[in-house]
Amino acid sequence: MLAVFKRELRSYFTGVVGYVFMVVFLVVAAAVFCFTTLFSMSADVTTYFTVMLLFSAIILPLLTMKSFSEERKLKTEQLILTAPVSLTGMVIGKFLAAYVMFASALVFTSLYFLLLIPYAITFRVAVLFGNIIALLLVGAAFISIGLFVSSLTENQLSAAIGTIAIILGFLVVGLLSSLIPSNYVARYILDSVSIFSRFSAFTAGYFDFSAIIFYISLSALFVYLTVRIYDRRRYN
Amino acid sequence: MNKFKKSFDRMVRSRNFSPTIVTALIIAAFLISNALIYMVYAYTRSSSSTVEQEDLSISDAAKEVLDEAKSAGKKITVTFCMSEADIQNHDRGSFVYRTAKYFENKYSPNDDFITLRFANIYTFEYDDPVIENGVRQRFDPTAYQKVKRTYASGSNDKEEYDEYVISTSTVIFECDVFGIAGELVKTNTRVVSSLGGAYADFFTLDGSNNITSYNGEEYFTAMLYWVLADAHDVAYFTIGHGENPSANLYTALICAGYYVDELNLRKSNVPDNAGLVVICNPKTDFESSTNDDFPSEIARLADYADKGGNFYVVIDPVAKKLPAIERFAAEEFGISIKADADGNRFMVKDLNNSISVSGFTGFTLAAEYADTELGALIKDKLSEYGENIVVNDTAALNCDESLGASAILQSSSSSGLDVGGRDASAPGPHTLVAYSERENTYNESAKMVFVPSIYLTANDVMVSNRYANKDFMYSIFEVFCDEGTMPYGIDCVAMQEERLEDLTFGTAMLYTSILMAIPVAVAAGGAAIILRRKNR
Repeated sequence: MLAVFKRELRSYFTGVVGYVFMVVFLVVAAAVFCFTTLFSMSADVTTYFTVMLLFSAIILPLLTMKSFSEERKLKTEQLILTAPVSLTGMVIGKFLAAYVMFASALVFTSLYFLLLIPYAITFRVAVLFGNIIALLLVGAAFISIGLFVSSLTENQLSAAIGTIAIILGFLVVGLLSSLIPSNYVARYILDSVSIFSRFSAFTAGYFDFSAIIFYISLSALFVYLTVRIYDRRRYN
Repeated sequence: MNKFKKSFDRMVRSRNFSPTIVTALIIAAFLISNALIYMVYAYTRSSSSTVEQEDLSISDAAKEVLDEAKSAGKKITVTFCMSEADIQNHDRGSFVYRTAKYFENKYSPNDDFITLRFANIYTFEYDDPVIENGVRQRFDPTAYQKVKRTYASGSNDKEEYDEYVISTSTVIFECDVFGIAGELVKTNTRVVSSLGGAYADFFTLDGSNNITSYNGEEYFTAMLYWVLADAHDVAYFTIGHGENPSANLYTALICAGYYVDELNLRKSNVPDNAGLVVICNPKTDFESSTNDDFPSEIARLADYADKGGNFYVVIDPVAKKLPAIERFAAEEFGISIKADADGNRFMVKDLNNSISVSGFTGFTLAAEYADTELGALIKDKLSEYGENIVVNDTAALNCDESLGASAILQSSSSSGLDVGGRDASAPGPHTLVAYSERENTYNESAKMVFVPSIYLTANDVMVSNRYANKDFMYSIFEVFCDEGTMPYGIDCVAMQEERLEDLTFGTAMLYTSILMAIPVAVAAGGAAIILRRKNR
């Protein structure tokens, strides 16, 4: 797993993809930060992280689209399937490489809020940490979805679009749940699988342990599904 | 773990369990377990808040004055017209209650210098029985519906009273003054009736009546100062010209120890007890034509000036011109608004030092203290309380030194003048707030402070602990009062906590440039690395 992780991480920085991801992420994060805080004269972290959540829904599929689809396209898939590394280790290695890229960019850009401390009436560090942790967990979920969809196709663009479609599906679920009155069971069921509804608790400053379990289990589920795809492919 | 994995794999690969079914079961388990966990969470709300709680406390700002009053043997009673249990549960009253308890504990832990009482306005009983001279005292709310005024100047022959509505959110401040022999000489009283809403006087509210900050410590301190003083000046707001005084200016005058009244110059002269005449943002001009039988408004103001009167004038420079009142300020006190040959006023603009409170327009500036006697005096006084005084949409002023006019506040050396959207001068400081003092033939000084901006007492600057606008107002009133105790340097508790303050446009642009340079550096570094690898 470690070898796969190192190889994947190195490939991000030997090719163009990693740098493009970093540059685009840093540009968008800086622009969002400046407009939502400096030029709005507000130390509110919620708006920034909500916008970054929506941006992550678009940028992360572009990061993960080549993870498995490129292997299929270049016909190097057989090497993976016959390599002396477990499928689970391989998938987790790729997952961790993409996640490290995303997490390092997110944590670095979150440091921008330190600039506001001398000017803020009150700066809630705990709310900032809550939002960072929430977005890290959401990012993990998006990356695992991206890996899963990437394993289904050899076309990178299809992988990216498929991932965005699934993430948007989760968004629609959240919108549908808001149309249902709060005392209906259906509302609870839809909210329970809505990525964005769960995220809003963190933006309000609440440490929602059930949401943490949800995001971790969602990430684990899609990693498992990716392993199952390759397991089936190996024996077919 | 490996044992579990092997059994799981064996089970999956057995004929009875196809991988598809297992996968479906896992997905179902994920959905059901998360739904159950979420429903349990929604009912029990077992999450913990990451938001920190704000804590009230009081500063040492009032220490010297209250210690002196205590040494003089004065005793202060603060009576809440609500039971102690009720006020502790009141959403606004609990703030005032806590402030009162902090004062009692800080200045009167073991004596009766400050006593808190809680009374019922319907049963006329106190929470704790009050026994004086062996007689149980009952609370009489009607005794506070009319409170006699004591003026610092002018005639006190005619008794005048302030009338109050006593409600459950009324707070009554009383100070007993004792003579040399220990006999009670008099009781000074101030009633805070908060007509704008429960305990509204202790809070700053926005246009929609929402609380923007809690100013309880400052207001409480000001009320203690009020009852410790024996007499007060009156500040008269002129009416009849569409004046629209801000609630913050009104409150600042009360906290500075003034009675506040209205003055209709069309009907009467400026009263003898006037300590200050406030002309606040008039929309129409004052009458200037006069005859012997009926003096004009300007004539009445000039008469007051001749007697050594004080003026605080606020003019909105973007509104209609007011030739009569502006001529009065120019001819009597040497202060005028700068204008071009066509009469268009010069507005002060400084984009580099603009502080965005309502947007980076360049017209919202941090003012500097002028290098004049009064400017230096106020700067020295306020140096420990705050730095920037923020003004917005301000015209530039001319000061005629021969008539005693000088600047108090000025713009920075990088500021310029704007007229009709075009730059009208080279960069340089311009007078934003001016002061003038002139003596009449009786050696009495008439004073005027002229402010060509309605923003000096706006909500968002007055509730700030970072800007010094509020303390600047107190320093101005202190100039008029000669003697007076001002509640300087007391912070408020901002309810809208997410604002940024004191961030100039120049600083925001610098940060933006730095943040945008980072991805450029990453892109350049990445390109260099990739090119080097290709060239190997």
